[in-house]
Amino acid sequence: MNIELRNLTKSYRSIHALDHVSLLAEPGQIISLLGPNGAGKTTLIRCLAGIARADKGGIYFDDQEFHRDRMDLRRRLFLLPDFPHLFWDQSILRNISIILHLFDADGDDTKERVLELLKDFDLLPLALRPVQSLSRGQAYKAALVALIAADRELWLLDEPFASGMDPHGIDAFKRHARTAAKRGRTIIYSTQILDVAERFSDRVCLIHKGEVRAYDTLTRLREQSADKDNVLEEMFRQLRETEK
Amino acid sequence: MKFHLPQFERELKRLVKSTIRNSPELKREHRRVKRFRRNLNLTWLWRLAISCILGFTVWAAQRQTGHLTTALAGVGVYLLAGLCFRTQSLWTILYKSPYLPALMILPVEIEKIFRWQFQRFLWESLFLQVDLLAMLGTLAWLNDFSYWQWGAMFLLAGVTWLNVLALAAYCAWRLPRWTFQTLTGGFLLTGLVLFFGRNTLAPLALHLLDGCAPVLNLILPTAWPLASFDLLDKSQHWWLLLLWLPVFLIFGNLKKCLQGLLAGFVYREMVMPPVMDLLPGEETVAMLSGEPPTHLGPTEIEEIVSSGTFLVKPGHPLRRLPEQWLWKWLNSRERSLAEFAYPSGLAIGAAWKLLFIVTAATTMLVLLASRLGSTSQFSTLALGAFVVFCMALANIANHGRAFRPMWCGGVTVPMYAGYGIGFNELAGFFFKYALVQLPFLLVVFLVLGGLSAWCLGMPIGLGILFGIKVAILMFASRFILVAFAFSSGTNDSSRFHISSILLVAFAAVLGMAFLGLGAASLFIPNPSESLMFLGASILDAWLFYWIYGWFYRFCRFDLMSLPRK
Repeated sequence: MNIELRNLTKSYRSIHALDHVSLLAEPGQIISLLGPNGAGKTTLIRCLAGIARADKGGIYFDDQEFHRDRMDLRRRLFLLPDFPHLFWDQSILRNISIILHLFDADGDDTKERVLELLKDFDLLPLALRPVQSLSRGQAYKAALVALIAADRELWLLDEPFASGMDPHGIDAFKRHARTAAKRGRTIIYSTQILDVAERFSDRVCLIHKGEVRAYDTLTRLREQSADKDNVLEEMFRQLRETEK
Repeated sequence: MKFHLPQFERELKRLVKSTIRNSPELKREHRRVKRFRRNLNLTWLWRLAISCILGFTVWAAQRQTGHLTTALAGVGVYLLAGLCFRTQSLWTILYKSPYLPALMILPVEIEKIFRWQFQRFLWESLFLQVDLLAMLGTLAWLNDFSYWQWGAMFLLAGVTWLNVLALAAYCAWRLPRWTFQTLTGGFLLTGLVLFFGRNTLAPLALHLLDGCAPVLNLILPTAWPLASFDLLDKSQHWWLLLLWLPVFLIFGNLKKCLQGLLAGFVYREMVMPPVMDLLPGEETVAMLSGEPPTHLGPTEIEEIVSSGTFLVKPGHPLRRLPEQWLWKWLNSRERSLAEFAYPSGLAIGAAWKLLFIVTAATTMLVLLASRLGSTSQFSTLALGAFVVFCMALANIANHGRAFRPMWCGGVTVPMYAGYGIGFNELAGFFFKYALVQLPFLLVVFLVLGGLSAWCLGMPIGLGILFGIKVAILMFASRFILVAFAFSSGTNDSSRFHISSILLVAFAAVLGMAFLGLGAASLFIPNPSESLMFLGASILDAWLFYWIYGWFYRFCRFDLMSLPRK
């Protein structure tokens, strides 16, 4: 899915959450959204998911304008917020089943896929437990299994690396995201962990005060940076110095 | 009592302010944030309005009965309701406050936390004092009190307030929680019934109060200090001063109450009880021989997943007829929506079974009450009809989990917005859900209409027709309710924007029109005109839904509720 943002502007009362954001994302990329707290990363993800509506500008999926009434386009993406939207009194399996039905992703091969994912994320023994009895990391992993099993063209994740997942879960997520990207899925996620962003992403989008300060591949950013080993840290340092 | 040092906080504020003043960048940022946070808290305004209404109520009570004792008994009864609310509040603040988990991990003695929480309770109770001043002040003004009488009135209001709080402490310590919870619910319901029936039921209640006012003033502990108010006026019953004895006993017991409450003030971290596995479908239960164990082993779970049992629709059996009808009527997408909105399964039949029982009980009680007299007959009918109406509305307007707000990243997003679910498809499903219930709705209101006609001595057929019209109007309100449900999870009316103003204006106009047209269809005697108004009200409700749908598609509001501050 080709994603294009054209002059996207969004404000909450007097705060400019997004200020004329324009960018283009091609299929098969992992894009990390970086920026200080309150920079507009989550707002951008919410706009892409159709939850927040831009004041100006537009979002285009494969050159078709996206808004909340375009359910055909909406069903091509999956949003996973920092606190996943789950039915807490239902079991993991029931949650997965409901979500897969909603996304029409309950085909013949789904069972094997779900089984494989449950094993991969160490959730198989817990699959029949109500989500409310799980830890935060386990609940997040349950939502992640639904996301990966639904296999939408665009994955939107808000702070997946601050979700309480164990290292094994993080590793499994990275593996599945990489495979999905190779199949042409686009993964957009926000994070504050620069090391992860540097190693895991194909492209980095640095947002500050609602503006895109940098949007490029890591190779290109490295070429432009003085500190080639810590390119993202260097970018943040520069951002801070410019502010002063 | 404060947990922080005010001096330190003042100095810190001064330091922050001077730092901001010295940096142009920070100054700009501060100005921006300050603008964002500017808002008005209007809670105190409507609370003050309630105090004024209470003042007016006691004024009306004395004017209509001519007895100060009746007005004082009214104040006593209000304070009894206030006592239940305050007890509930004290219990919640002390044992269920969301502050507790944060406070308990601080290095502070438990006694200090208790005192701090109790202080919060006292602050929250201040409005009861305002209510009391409004009511007693009105009575003092009405009875032409002199300066010294006004002074004594203020003193009396203070002591009465303390008396209620001391009683609240005693009740929270000694009584089981369900007693004051039930009483609070009862008082709320009675208040609502009296408010809506202020022209019919309120005069009856006032008459009843007038009859038993002297007894109430003697037996209600909340009214004991108020008895002296009567002495300030013209009463010569000096023996009423004896009522101060139990009041002093209550005050004397306060220390013991607080100690008792403190003894029970032990914070317990919420621990989830061990849970059983939730098995998908009855086939799984049948698959396991004998009683299912608490937790299935990985092999059994693997079998459930690979056999696809967990994907089979519906997740729960369709036990009763309405669920089966609905399921047959729904298309594949709507079945997914049904699963999403009601993950624990559809339960239309069970809810209506309960409503039929309540309707039957109401009918029986009204028939029995008719032997006692018309007043008790009408009171029973009004109460029963009110309960049935609320229950039927809850059944028809049940949205399950679809619009449940989910907290994420500082905002709440309605559940449906997290997944690719559209306005029309979800609304369409809820209309079908309501339409399946229409026959049951008609039956219930047909019975209630007939019963009302019998009580009023009108032709039964007229009552039945009235009941049918009420049922149709209730069904039509589904269009409006679904629009409200969508609106509840958005910031569509909280922004200062031309579209928000238009939206609120259209909702107000069409909403009022629905009520007006509905009332006209019910009360206009000409059948063809009545039918025309009924049709118009249904059209109005549909227009409400359709226009909101237009706003939903084309307005730039968000599918989330932003925090107020």
